[in-house]
Amino acid sequence: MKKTFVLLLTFILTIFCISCSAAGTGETADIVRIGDSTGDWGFPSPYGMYSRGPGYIRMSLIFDTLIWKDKEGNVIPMLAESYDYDEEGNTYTFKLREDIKWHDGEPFDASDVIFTFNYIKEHPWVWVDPGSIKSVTQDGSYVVKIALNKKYAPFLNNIAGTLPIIPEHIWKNIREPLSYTGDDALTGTGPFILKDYNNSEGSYLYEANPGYYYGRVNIEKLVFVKVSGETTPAMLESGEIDAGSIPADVAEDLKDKGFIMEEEPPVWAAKLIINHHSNDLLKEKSFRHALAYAIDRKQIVEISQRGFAVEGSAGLMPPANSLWYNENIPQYEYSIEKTRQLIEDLGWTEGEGGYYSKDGDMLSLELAVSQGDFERDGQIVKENLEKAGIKIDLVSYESKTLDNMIENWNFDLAISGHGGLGGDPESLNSVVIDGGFNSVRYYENEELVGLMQAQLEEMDTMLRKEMVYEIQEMYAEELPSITLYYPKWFWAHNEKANIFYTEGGISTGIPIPINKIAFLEK
Amino acid sequence: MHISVKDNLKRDKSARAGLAIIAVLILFSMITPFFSGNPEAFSRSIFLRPGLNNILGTNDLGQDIFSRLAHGLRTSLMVSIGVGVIATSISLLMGVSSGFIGGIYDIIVMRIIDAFLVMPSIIILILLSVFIRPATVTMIILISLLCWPEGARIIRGQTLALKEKRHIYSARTFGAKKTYILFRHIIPDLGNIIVVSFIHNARTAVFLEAGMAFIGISSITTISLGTIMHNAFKFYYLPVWLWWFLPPGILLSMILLSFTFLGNLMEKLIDPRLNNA
Repeated sequence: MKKTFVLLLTFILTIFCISCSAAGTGETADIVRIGDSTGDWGFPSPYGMYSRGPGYIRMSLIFDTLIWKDKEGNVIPMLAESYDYDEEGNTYTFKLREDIKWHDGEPFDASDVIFTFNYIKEHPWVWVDPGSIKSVTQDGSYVVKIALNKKYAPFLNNIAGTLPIIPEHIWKNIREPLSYTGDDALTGTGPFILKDYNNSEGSYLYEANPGYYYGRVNIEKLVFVKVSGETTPAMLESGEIDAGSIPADVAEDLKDKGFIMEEEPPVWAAKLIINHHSNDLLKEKSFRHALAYAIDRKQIVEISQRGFAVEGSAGLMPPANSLWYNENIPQYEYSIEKTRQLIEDLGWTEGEGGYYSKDGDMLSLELAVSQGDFERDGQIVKENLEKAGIKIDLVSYESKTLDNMIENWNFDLAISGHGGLGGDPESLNSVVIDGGFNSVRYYENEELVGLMQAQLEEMDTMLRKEMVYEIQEMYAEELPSITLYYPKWFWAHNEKANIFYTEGGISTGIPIPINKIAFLEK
Repeated sequence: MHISVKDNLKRDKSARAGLAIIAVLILFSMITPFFSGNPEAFSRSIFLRPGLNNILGTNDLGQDIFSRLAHGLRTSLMVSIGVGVIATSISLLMGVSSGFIGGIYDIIVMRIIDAFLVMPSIIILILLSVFIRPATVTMIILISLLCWPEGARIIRGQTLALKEKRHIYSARTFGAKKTYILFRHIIPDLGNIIVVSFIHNARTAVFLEAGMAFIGISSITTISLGTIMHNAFKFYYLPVWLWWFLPPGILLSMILLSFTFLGNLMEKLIDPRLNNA
């Protein structure tokens, strides 16, 4: 009898323990840790974030936009539960959800949306140009009408799906948004609330927003930690991080070990930026052509990228963006003879050491690269150009210093890059004629500038496609920068971090697999 | 008292080993680059394993690692010897002049030395490299400017002691000029300390240059043991580290070890008490 009782008790206890542990694991992974090689991407408020993709991603976890994108790149509702476009009046009408609250408990409504659009007119926000917006009005507390002063094809993607809506009750008192880092600066409606940010360590700690209107957040905490790309595989294997960008060489190995691999479409462009603004020699289009012929892009892909990249297109748009890529652009196939011919046509003669010179001055340029990122590419470009008779002084700078130098035209040649080319072709405008260090700011060809502006107003996709094709041809001819390659990047993650790439990229085309809806219950 | 360096070297096995290692390394760095090929040449044969054509395989740019190692060793030794000469010369100049002249000049020099000694060299080098391009020659100058104070302090102390020696008094009594005393008596008597200072500075230079290069603060085009390790470290998750990362590390350790052995011998010569230890 006693023995039966003990057995029964043991059985009951075992069942109890099993059920407890099952309940413990539940649907919620406790903490998801993501490794990042840079670490600090700025204070994650709309105005405090560093103006690159990872900065936007960190901000987007806290602040929501009117609409968003799912894994396939389809527009999905977010703050707005539906939208409608009136072609005649050129007006978008957004019906907002009525159950949304800011992180501080205040209700969200149309006045916040109107306030945000007005605020970015007063305090420009680099990701959205409000120039195309005529008026933003409300029709009741939960309907917003946005009238445009001209047709603007990428409105949904680049404004409604990019602009983070900020709370009026907080931001109406903030006069210096760029430097404001008060506690309430991070009050959003998003799925996460920031609990800790350490800029020196490059770490971010987010906690799930328990009352998130769009769905239950399936993790409790999300952490970004600074981890070098090389140590990421080891840290993934040891379980110290759950996801991270890994060197392409180990992708297969990690896949064999059970990690899930996310291969990013190669839409990030590594470019040779040319100072066509203040360097007289580089203002010469034919000299830029000479540079393009001298650089063996195939060699860079095969050696420095070890085959994990796609050769750059002279028209800038990557082949992976199949909707908008023009495959008939004449590329500058590697030819030292053509380079030499073009340089000699400009009056340079071959002199001492095989380098060209004119009026006693050697043809010499400085090539700046950021530390660690493009050093190997820089070495190959230097060798290519020196073989063609152009003396190159290769110098490396800290990446943000180099961004600053590029923005202020304080360089000759530089290797840098940007993403955003996987989505709407407005990205071409932002990296060709808009401001900022990511843009080549090329205005010499008025026809090109005009066409770029006109394509934004073309609502017919086929007609717009023709215009974008022509833009690529003209860009390839003007060549304000030389696209070297589009790297293939890999992210590895375990099942805990259920991340994915978004077709066409997040927002304006950010090719990072951290879409906030990945952390929501399906 | 006359001390025979040669006799002591014969007796000290570790110092003999140190001298042999450094001699072999210098010889290797001088001869090998002539037949090891172009260390800059790229090829599409990346990450080749060690073989007949490439003794230590190839790196991520398809460059011959053995050739780069030979050139890198040459750079590291050049920095080491360059800093040894320059920093020791500054130490000698400042230390001897300070001890010999004395007075307010001595006080000023000593305060400058104190200021230099409390500054962390590696931090200063990192800060300076933001403004000055860290090429080989600039690295030699920068490291020299940070290495001299320690030697100068020791040389000054020894100069003060020598000044009070009987033979210096005698020379003065016989009307010897200051310059004569300095060059005929004091500097020759500082011989062993100068050698110790040289070895110490050379050893510090190798370590600092490699450290700076390893953390990425050096010219991209410079080939040194530190830059080789810096580039190899990016691929340590691949087996290439065995023939890419390890050899420069071993060479670096050998240089440091040989300088340490030689330094120990010289210290024993200066301080005979160490012989009994």
